[in-house]
This record gives sequence, structure tokens and C-alpha cells, in this order.
Amino acid sequence: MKASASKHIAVWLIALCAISGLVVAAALAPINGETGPDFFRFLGRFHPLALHLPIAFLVLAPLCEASRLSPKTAHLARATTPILFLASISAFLTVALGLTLAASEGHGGALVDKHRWGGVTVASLATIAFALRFTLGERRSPVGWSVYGGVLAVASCALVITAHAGGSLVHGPQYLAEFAPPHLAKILGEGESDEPAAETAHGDLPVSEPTLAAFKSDVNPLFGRYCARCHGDGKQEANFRVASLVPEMTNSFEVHDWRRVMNKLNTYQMPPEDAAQPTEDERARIVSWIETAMNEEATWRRSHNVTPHIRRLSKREYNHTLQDLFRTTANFASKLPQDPLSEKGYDTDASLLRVSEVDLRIYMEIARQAVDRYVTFGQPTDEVEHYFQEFEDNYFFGRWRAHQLAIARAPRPLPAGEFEKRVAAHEASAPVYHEQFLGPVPYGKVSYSGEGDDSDVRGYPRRHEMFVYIPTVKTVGEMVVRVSAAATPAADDGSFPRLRLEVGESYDRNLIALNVGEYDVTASKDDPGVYEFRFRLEDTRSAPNPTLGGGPGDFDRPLLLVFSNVARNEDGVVGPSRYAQEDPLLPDGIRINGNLPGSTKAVMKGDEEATEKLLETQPGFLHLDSLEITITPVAAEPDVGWSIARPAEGAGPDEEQRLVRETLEEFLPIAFRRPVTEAEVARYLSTFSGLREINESYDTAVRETLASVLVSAEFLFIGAPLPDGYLADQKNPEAVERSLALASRLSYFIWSSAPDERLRAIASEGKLADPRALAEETTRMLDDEKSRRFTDAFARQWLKLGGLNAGTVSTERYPEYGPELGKLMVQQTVDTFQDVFHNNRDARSLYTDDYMFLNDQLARHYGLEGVVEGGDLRRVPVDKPVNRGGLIGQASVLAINSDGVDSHPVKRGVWLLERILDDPPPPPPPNVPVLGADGVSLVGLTLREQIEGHRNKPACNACHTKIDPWGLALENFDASGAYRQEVTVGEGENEIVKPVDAHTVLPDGEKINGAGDLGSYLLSEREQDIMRGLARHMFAYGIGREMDILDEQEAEQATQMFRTSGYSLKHLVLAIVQSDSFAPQKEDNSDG
Amino acid sequence: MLPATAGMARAATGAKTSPIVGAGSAAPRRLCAIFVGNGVALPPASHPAHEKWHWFPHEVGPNFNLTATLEPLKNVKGQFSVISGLSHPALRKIYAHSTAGYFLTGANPESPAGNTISMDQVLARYSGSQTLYPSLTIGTEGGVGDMSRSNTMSFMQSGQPIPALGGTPRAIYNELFAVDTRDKGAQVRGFDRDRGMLDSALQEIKSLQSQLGAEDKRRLEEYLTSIRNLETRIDRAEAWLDVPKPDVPADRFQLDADPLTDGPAAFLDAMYDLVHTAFVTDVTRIVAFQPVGEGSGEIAKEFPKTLGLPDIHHSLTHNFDKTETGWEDWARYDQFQVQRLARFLEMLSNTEDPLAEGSLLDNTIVLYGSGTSETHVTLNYPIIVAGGRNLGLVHDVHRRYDDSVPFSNLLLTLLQTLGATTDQFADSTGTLDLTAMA
Repeated sequence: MKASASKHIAVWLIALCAISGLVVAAALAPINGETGPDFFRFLGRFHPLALHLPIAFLVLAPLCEASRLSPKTAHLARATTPILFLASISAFLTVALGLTLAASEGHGGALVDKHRWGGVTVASLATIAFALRFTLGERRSPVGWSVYGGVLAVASCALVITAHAGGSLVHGPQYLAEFAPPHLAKILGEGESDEPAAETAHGDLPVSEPTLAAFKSDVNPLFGRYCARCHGDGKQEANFRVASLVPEMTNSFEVHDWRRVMNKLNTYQMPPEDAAQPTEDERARIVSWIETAMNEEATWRRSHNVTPHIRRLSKREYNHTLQDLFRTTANFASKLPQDPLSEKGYDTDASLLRVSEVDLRIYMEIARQAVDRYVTFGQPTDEVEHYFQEFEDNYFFGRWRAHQLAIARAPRPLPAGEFEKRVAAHEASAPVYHEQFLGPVPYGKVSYSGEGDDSDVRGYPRRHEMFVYIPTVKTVGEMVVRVSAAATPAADDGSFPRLRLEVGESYDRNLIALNVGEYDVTASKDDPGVYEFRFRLEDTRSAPNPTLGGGPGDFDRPLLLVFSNVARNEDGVVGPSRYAQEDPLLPDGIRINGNLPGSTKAVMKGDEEATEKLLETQPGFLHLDSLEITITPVAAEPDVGWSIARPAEGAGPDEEQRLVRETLEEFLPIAFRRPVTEAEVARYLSTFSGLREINESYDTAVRETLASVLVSAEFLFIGAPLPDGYLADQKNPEAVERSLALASRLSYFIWSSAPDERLRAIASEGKLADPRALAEETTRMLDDEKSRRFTDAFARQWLKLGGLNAGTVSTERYPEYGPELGKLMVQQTVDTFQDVFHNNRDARSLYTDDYMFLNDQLARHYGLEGVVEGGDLRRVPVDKPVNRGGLIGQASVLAINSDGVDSHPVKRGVWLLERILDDPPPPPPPNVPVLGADGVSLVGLTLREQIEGHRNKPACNACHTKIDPWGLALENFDASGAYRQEVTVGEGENEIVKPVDAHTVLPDGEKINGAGDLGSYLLSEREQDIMRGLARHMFAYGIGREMDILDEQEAEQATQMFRTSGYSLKHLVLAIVQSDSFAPQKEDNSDG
Repeated sequence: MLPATAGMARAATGAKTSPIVGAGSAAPRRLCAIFVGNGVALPPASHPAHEKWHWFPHEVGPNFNLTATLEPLKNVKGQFSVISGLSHPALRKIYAHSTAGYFLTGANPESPAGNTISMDQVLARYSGSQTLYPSLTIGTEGGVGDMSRSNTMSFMQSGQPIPALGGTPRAIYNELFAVDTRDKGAQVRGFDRDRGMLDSALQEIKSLQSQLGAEDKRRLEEYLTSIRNLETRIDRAEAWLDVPKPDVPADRFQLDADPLTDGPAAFLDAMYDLVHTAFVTDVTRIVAFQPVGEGSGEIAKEFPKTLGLPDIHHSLTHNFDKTETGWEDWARYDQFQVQRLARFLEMLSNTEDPLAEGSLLDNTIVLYGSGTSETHVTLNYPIIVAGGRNLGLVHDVHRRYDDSVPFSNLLLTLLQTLGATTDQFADSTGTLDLTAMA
């Protein structure tokens, strides 16, 4: 008896220990949605197999007990003890496997918790039942037996609940309810609320009630069946849960999610191949429901005016608008911050263009500066200024106090008549050149660094440049510089020097100067040529600021002109020039170099050696003869700015009012881009009167009034509604309203600026509402030079060319690269696009290599030396096979999508999908490990090899098989965009050279090798896709907002028109401006 | 040498320090929140650099040792704590290193408004009126940036970003200390003109607004807010017109420090010096400072290269496993940033608070950290909280929390410590006890 008692105690102890152990294990298991080691995943997958054992045993046990009811079968009851033992053991095993599965397979969530604790309960109850049964044996204890019976019954219930939770995890929460009779379905459904959502009550939702009902009955069950297993309560692969899809689509994030789902289904990416597939009919049912709902949502949004009509001018547009308003090419917007870009990459997105407090302060500052500069009163008081200088008389020292001497000896403005005399005298005599001939510079980055100094110091001129001070005090106006110069062409290839003029101000060791132009100089020394530069003085000046002490812009500085030869040559020299260290023209006695410090002596020696070398190789030299300068202030420029009359001395306020009214009646319609009402003129007149009342001068009051116009919403925003009463006396108010709205959108699309007088006139009569007139105007505007603003901005934003800056390419790895080459690369791409656009070439030719925009420097970069001469980019036929596939193989985009040192196939792949095919891959998930984070060494692997490594990981593979192949085809181009056959890995001792492998298999199975193949594949197999991609990008730029489903339909129509036009980009523009998306018909706007 | 002297402080000179009656009577409580982008180097335990170059101390609790990265802080040990484990739950799912704009807000980027008020602005509502500038937002880059690479940490209630002053130390100096040389009449006239121009814009918007749809209205509302804010600023400047600006000579700072030629240390230290001077002269008590942003394409990205490290910041934080010294290179840059912080803390600690008992640091809470632990990991922000001993903070401890504690709990705790009477901030679920050594 004692032995048996201790045996019972032991069984209870073991049972209780086991149960508490299980509870602790279950509580601690890391079920957090993260994936675990593969071996545990393997083990865990036995859970679905093992779980059948405890179910069987726990069903069998009560049956055995029930066998007592008949004496014939009563002996079977003895089997319950071993059966319960097995039930307990197998339940433990099942729970353990289940925990392993959940922890290692990335499960998590409420349903998993329910299943977990259900399993633990079943295992615990089975164990207790076994211990009770073992203790009871054959004893008669009514209490004991009823407790035992109860435990067994509860265990069975727990079993059913747990199994149901498990079923829901695998097959979705609706797996039983789906086909159940209706009255059962309610009970069986998991957490499905039968009450309609609160909002549906008031009936004004983006998605209509019938559509919502269709969702419930036809669509939602399919999600449960095919998707919930991986995107349900138990598991949220890709961070996505079907239950989070909101059929009501009450905000844009929800629409976004739906779009994602639709794309996955449409492209058969989901469900994955190894999962149960919906029938074609079912798939179509879901997709067409999403389409219907998105359509309803977009229509609703438009009719409720949730779609924006107004948008702020972008920085670019603001600049051009002021340029056109004040009739000048000066840059107004340099102080404004950069605008944010839309998801598709454009600066025209209405929802992103905001006005912050800082923006507003800058707008006020710019407005005041603009009227200050370009509004003049009465007769010009400021005279035109002339300078003439023979270069041989030029005197410039860059060192020590000599700088003061250089200013003192700078040319002076010449009195009227004197200038013409000097010019005539010069023309009559033979040319005399400055002794210093300017040699070319070497390839790569032109570095001004001195010895022991890492920075680019430009305090004094170098071997290839000459400085001239012009001591003008003017800061605003047009400046024309005419340079007489000649060339000695290079001895070997006859190439010419390239004259560049930079204008700015000198600050101690640095200079801030603007490149105002370049010419290839071809004139011979016997007959020098005249090269003219024309620019705005204000763009080269930093405005003085009286409230600040020290730093740039604090005192009047002479203007500095830098003439240089920027042609490139392998033997070029960027050394300090002795002409900056001493003045060979001065008599010996007053030379400052009498007591030169060591470094200057070294400089002079270096310069002599460099000169010798230059003379030996005889590259093209530049010789400077003379300089004519004319500075015309705004008041003397008939075509620039606004000239406003002053009232005669002693005239009363009425006369002032009359003059200001006249000005406003002319100024306001241009600023507001439409005719203005009397009330509007009166409002600004009263602003003027108010300023006069507080004793502001007439000039100040006029300027402040005009500046106020430039910070008003009417000016800063496109699409502002018309003022009250404007349409009242119009014959056809709707046409006028639409016509005016269209005019602004049209001119900001094509000109990045306000409508001109003709467009305003047509629009104010309501004529633009007529599609024929719209087409006619569009064509006229496309032929205007101003349309280059659009093509320039679009090409840069479409192809993301803004990504190329000084640091993009490592100059250590690529000494041939420099900021200047970078600019040329970008310019090449812009020119390529503009050439196709403005010359109305077939857009498909963007992807061919028959012609390229090149100059000698760029041609060298492409390995095409000799196909072109000179420094201007020009369109040249290329008959060598360059195998670049047009745009996709241009150096600019290749360099931008690299990491500076090596190519970057992933970046290049993403770029190609986004920009060319308009099929952007999803963003990378959060907490993504970097390459090699799993401890695998990446040392000595090419990027291609590293990338192949990550594609072996299932977590990365799904997306990267669709991205990387595109980039791998471009492996023949290094981080500077130059062709290569070998790739270098590692640095210094660890450097390894491997052959380039540009073979790849595209996602559709096409095997290609290199960019040439890729280009021809795109043109032959994906022609429609790449043309659609381009069309959709231009559409997005044009409409200035994120595209919704209606916009996409419109874009598709525009794409069709683009195709039937033989891919003429001008026709594409026509199609875009004629779409409803471009200028939506205004609907009822009573709401809001 | 300290760039500011006690002579600059108008402190405690009585009447003419603030135009607002009663302001400044309470002892000042200051905040400087500092954000450093792209996370920090945390070499794994298996890596040889783990022991030395792990940002976080290896020990938790009061007896922790400084790793090499935090070593520069040794002179102020006892005046700061390290905090690990916290993060913003709403940001865990966004693509990492796009966190700067949410660091002080904790907002869900996918919410319709996009963002919401930042902690420094909440504080400014409580105590901003006491100083000429209610708060100051500065950064190496300056401006707003875009939300994936925000250059500002300060946001209004509506989620509108407050542009940071920056680009150069001079821009900050000019705003804070440059003295308008015009006479008072001319200045008042300038204010009047500004108001006239803003008023004209305001009237025009009002006439438009009645006809606009909801979305357009919202857009103009932002413009309207900007106008009103600017008007407030002008009123404020006018109200403070009779209070002389502190006389802070420009030549005390390296205002034109060029990050490339003079080195990033000179550039950043000039900014830290300006914050220190702003506190000494009491022109503001709330500063949000972003010395290093996220991603590339900015001034700060070249800092590491200028320091002789092999790559730009973004690449350092991504390529740490490509070379043998990758982790260490990254950590050395972290260490450089900590050096700047240490110098700033020492300076605050060595300056007597002109307005209250103790040092400036005793009455100033400095929050320093990043919005990711490693570049792409949105958990476990590296955080240092320093100063504020007179406000009750207890230091010299490494406090570790688990994932379930939102970072907002720390922000709320600091807000309350700084005198904001609120019991909720963003998604906070409570406060942390920073007054005990546990």
C-alpha cells in the first residue's frame, strides 16, 4: 500500500512538473513574427503530422470509459490508463513541435496565441486526466470519478476549440463559415462583426453600398481561402494582413494597399506557385471588384473636391514667372530651398508644395529685391558704363598687398566718345597679345590645390587663366563682354583652345564666380576673332547686407573676370602662374619679387618648367588681345523691368492714384494670369494709399504695393478660383472658367511659367475650352524657345539626373572624372532628350546608339576619340558599335546608379524598372540585413558575386530576381560610366582583377549579354512597355499629383495616341493636355 | 576658451530682460535635443571589434564602463546616462534611416497628416514665451529636406515642418545675435511694412477661401499659418525691440568654418558654441540640433572622409563588413560625434548658470541619439541623456528597457521634468523613472 501510495505521489509530481514546464516553455517561446534557424523550421513542420495522435487518443479515451456501459465491452475500460498516458505524451510532443513551428516560421498574433494556449490546456488536462485515472484505478470514489469525468469532458472541449483555431490558422478564419448554412456561419466565423460599419449609415462614402455588399459576399471569402494562410492573423508575410484591407477606401493609404494587391494578382505573383491557386474566374472576380471600387473612389474624390485644384509654384516655375514678369534672364530663386519630389520623382506635385514660414520670408525678400531692381521711375539717371582694355596692359597680382595695386591699376570707365575712339584705334592696328599664352588643362578634376593644402584655393590665377578686375560699383544690369582672342592650334591633332569666362568676386583665398559661357577659339593670330559674352550682372554679385558684419557680401568689391583655356589635353598644366607672382612689365626697380619667399620661387620655377613642357608638346594655346565691356543699367534697358511715371512736382493725390492705377491695371493681369476685377485693382490701390498715409515716399509705396502682389496667393498658387463676380457678366461663364484654368496649367506645363499675352487673351474669351484651339495653342507654345524649360526639367527629373554631383564618382578611383565631366554627362542626356523632343524624332530612337551628343572630352570618356572636335556638345553619328542601348547606357545614369567606386547592379536595376519601364519594385522591407550581415565574408567578391549571394536567400530572392538581372546586363560599365572588361575588387594588397560578366537572364526568361542586347531587347520585346513608361512619367509630371485609377485610364489613352503618332513626343504632350486628368471639369463644389 | 563670457549674459540684471511681465521668474529649465543620423556601429559579439567599439556599454546598471566610442565622455561621467532598448513603435516598419523627422514626434508616417507636433514644440508652448526665441531649430544642412531625409526635427501641431537654420554657423549667428544697425524708427517702419504686406496677402486668401474644396483649403491653410506665424514673429521682435540684444561679437566663433578645409570639428563646434551662448545669454531655452542627417547628398556626408576615414558617412554605415576595419571605421566616426558632444557637455558643465543655482548643465537636459540602432534596424535607439541634475535626473547608469516601452515614454518623462504639465505625448504609455539608480 505504501509503495503504491508513493507511486501515485510520484506520478502526480511528474505530471505537475511536466505541466508547469510546458506552461513556462509556451510563455517564453519567441513567437514574434521573426523567422528562426532552418533546422527548427524542419522540426516544426512535423506539428501538423503529430497533432493527429493526441486527437485520436483523446477521442478514444472517453469511448473506452463509455464501454463500461455494456458488460460485454467493460474490459476495454482498462485500456484508458495507457491511452491517456499516450494522449498526454503525444499532446506534449505536439505542443513542443507547435511552439517550434510558430517560433521559427514567423508566426504571431492573437489567433496563434489562442491556439498556443489551447494546446497547452489540452496537454495539461490530458496529463491531469491520466494522473487521476491512474490514482483512481478500480476504486470506488464517486467524487474522484466525477472530477475525472469533468476533466475529460473539458479536455475534449479544449481539443475542439484548439483544433478549430489551428484550422483557422491554416485555412483562414472563415474556413468553416464560408460554405456553412447561414445560421451556423455566424457562430463559426472568427470575430466577424455582423453590424454594418458605423460610417455606412450616412451613405456618402467613396465606395458605394452595392460594391461593399459585393465585397462581403463575393470577394472577402476568397481572401480567406487563398490568402489568409500567410497574410492572416497567424502570420503576416511581407507585413501584410488581408484583414487590414479596408473595402471602404476612406483614405489614400488604403487605396495604395488595394493597388498593391491588384498588381500582385494581375501579374500572378500571388498566391505563390506552391500554394492553392484561385480559378481564373475567382481571380478575375477579385481584380474587377478592386477596379470597380477604385473607380468609384476616384470619382467620389473628384466630385468632392478632394483632388487638389490649386498648387504652389515650384521653385523653378517661380523663377521663370518672375523672369517673364520682369523681362530679364536673371536668377530670382537661388535663395529658395529645393522643392520636394513626388514619389515618381517630380517637383510639380501639388500635395508636396507647401509654404513654410521660411519660404514666406524668402518670398518677401525676393519680391522686394525684384521690384527694387527692376522697377524704375521716370528717366534713367544711371548711365551706360564702358570699359576697354588691351590685355598686354592688364596687371594682376594675386599675392599679398599687390591685390590693392591690381585694383588701383584696373581699367576705368571711359567717358562717352572715348570708348568708341579706343575701339576704333584698336581695330586699325595690328593685334598685340599678352605674353602669357593660356595652355590647356589635364583630364580629370582640375585641382587648384597648392602644396600642403587640400582645399581648392583660387586666390590667384594659374597657368591656364588670367584675372581682370573691373571696378564697377553697379550690381544690376546687363553686361556684355567682347573678347578679341586667337588660337595656336595643337601641333598633333589641330585641336583648338576653349575660352571660358567666369565672373564674380574674390574673397581672400577663394573666389565665387559664375561660368557665363565658353567658345572654341579658332581665329588665327593674324586675324583674331571677337567672342561675345552676355549675362546679368546681378547673377554674378552677392548683394551687400548692411545688418551683417563680415563675410561675403559685406562690402563693395571690384568685379573679377577670369579668362581661361579649358580645353583638355593629356599634357595640360594647372600650375600657379608666375604672372600672378611678378609683373614682367614693370621696371626692375619696382618689382615686388625682389625678395621672393621660397614658395614663390618654387612656383616660378615650376611655371617655367611647365611652360617648357607645354612648348614641347605644342597643345592648342589661347592668346588674349583685348577686352570691351558694356554695362547697361536696368533703367537704360528698354526691354527690361517696369518703368513707372512719377507725378509732376506738386501734383495732388489724384494724379498719384491715376498713375498707380495705370500700373496696376497692366501689372496685375500678368501676375494673376487673367484679367482682374475693379475690386482687385481697388484693393491694391488702397494698399498704396495706406502706405502714403503713413508717410512712405511715392517710390517706396509703389514698390511695396507691387511686392505685395508677388506674395499673394493668386500669384504663388496656380489654379486659384476666380474672384467673386468675375463670371457674372460673362456670356459663357463655364467656358471662360475652364479656359482660364487650362491656360495656366498649360503654360506651367510647357513653359514652366505664366501664360503670355496671347494665351491670356484667348483664355479670357473662353476659347481654350475648344479642343481645336487648345491643340493650336499647345503647338504654338511647343515651338517657342520657352518649351526647352519643360524638356530640360522633365529629362532631369524623369531620369533622376539630379543624383550626379561632385561626390558621386570617386576621383581617387577614377582620376579621369571631374565635376566638369559630370556636368557634360548630364548635359549629354538632356541634349539627347531635347533633340528627340524638339526635332520631333521617333521616341524609340532614345534607345539607340546611332547618334550621340559628344564633345572631345566626352568622346574620350566613351572611347570614341576623334569622332568630334571642340568643346561644344553636338550631335554626331557614331558608326562604331558602342553597345550602350541609348539612354540606359549613358554615362550619367550609369554613374548615378553606382556606389562611386564600383557599378551597382541593384541600383541600376531599380532605376531601370522605375524610370524606363515604370514598374517600380516594392520598397525594401524594414530591418533588412545588409549584405554579409550573416557573417559571410564579402572580402574579395565582386558586387555581382555578393548579389548572387543575397539572391540565394529566400527573404531577398522574391524581389531581387526581378531587379538584379536588369542591372547585371550593365556590368560592362564602371562607376564613372566608362566601358570595362575587367572589374577590380579590394584595395592595395588585396586588389584582385576579375573579368566582367554581363550575362543575365531577365525575369521573363530572355538570356542576354550586355547593354547592347538589353537595348535591342527593350526595343523589340518591350517596345510598348518602355514607351508607356515614358508616357506615364510625362503624364505624372503634367498633372502634378499622384495618379489614381482614372488618371491611369487617361494615361493609357494618351499612350495609345502617342503610339499612333509614331511615338512623337509632341503628340504625347497634346494627348496629355487634352485629357480630363490634366484639367478636370470642375464639378459641384458645394461640399467642404 | 569658452566662447561666451558671463559679461554677455543679461541674466539677473533685472527689469529689461524680457518684455513679458512675470516671465523668467521661475528657474530656467532648458532642453537641447541632438539627433545624429544613420545609427551607430554595434559590432556583433563574434567580431573582434565588439569589445572595444560597441557603442553601448557592455554592462547594464550603475557600474558600466565606457566603450572606446563613448570614452570621450569620461570627464563628464556622473552627469549622463546611457539608455538602450527604446524605439518608436510607429516607425518600426518604415524603411530605415528615414527617421529624423519623427525622432521627436513619434508619429506614424502613414497617418493621413503624415506627422505631428514634436516634443521641443510642445515644450515651447509651456515655456517658450520667456525668451526672445521660443525655440531654436538648427542643423548642419538647414532647411526642411524631405520626409525621407528630414533636415529638421521640429514640427508644428499640423505636421508642418519648421525649417532648421543651418548650412553655416553664420546663418545661426545672424538670426540669434546679429544686431540690426538701423535706428529704431527705421526698424519700426520695417515692421510696419512687413505687416502691411502680410496683411494684404491675408485678405486675399480670405477672399479666396470661401470658394475652395476641402483639399485646397487645407493647402491654403498652411500658407495662412505661415503668415500668422510670421506676424507673431514680427510682433515679438517689436515687443523685444527695447530689450537690447546680447552683445555677442561675431569673432568669438568660427562662423565661416568650412567643413572641408577647416574640418568638421571646427564646423560642428562652432554650432555647439552658438547653442552654449544662446543658453548663457538666454535668447532661447529650447534647442533641436541635427549635426548629422540621414542618407547622402548633404554637407555632413563628407565629414568622415575629411577626417581621414575611408568613405562617406552613408557608405561607412553600410559597408562595415566589406573590409577588416569596417566596424572600427564606422565606430571611430561615432566616437568623433561623441567627442563633439563631450566638449559641449563639458562647456555647459564648466559654465555657471547665470539665472539659477549650479552649472548650465545642471539646469539643462541634453538628449542625444539616433533613430536607428544600426543603419537599418529600427529598434534599440542609442540614447544619451545628460544634465538636468537640478531638475531631479540621476545619472551614471546604463538603463535598459525592452521593446514594449515606446521611446515616447522617455520624451514624456523629459517633458514633465522640464515643466510641461502633460501626461501624454504621442503614443506614450507612461513615464520612466530617471530619478533612481536602477
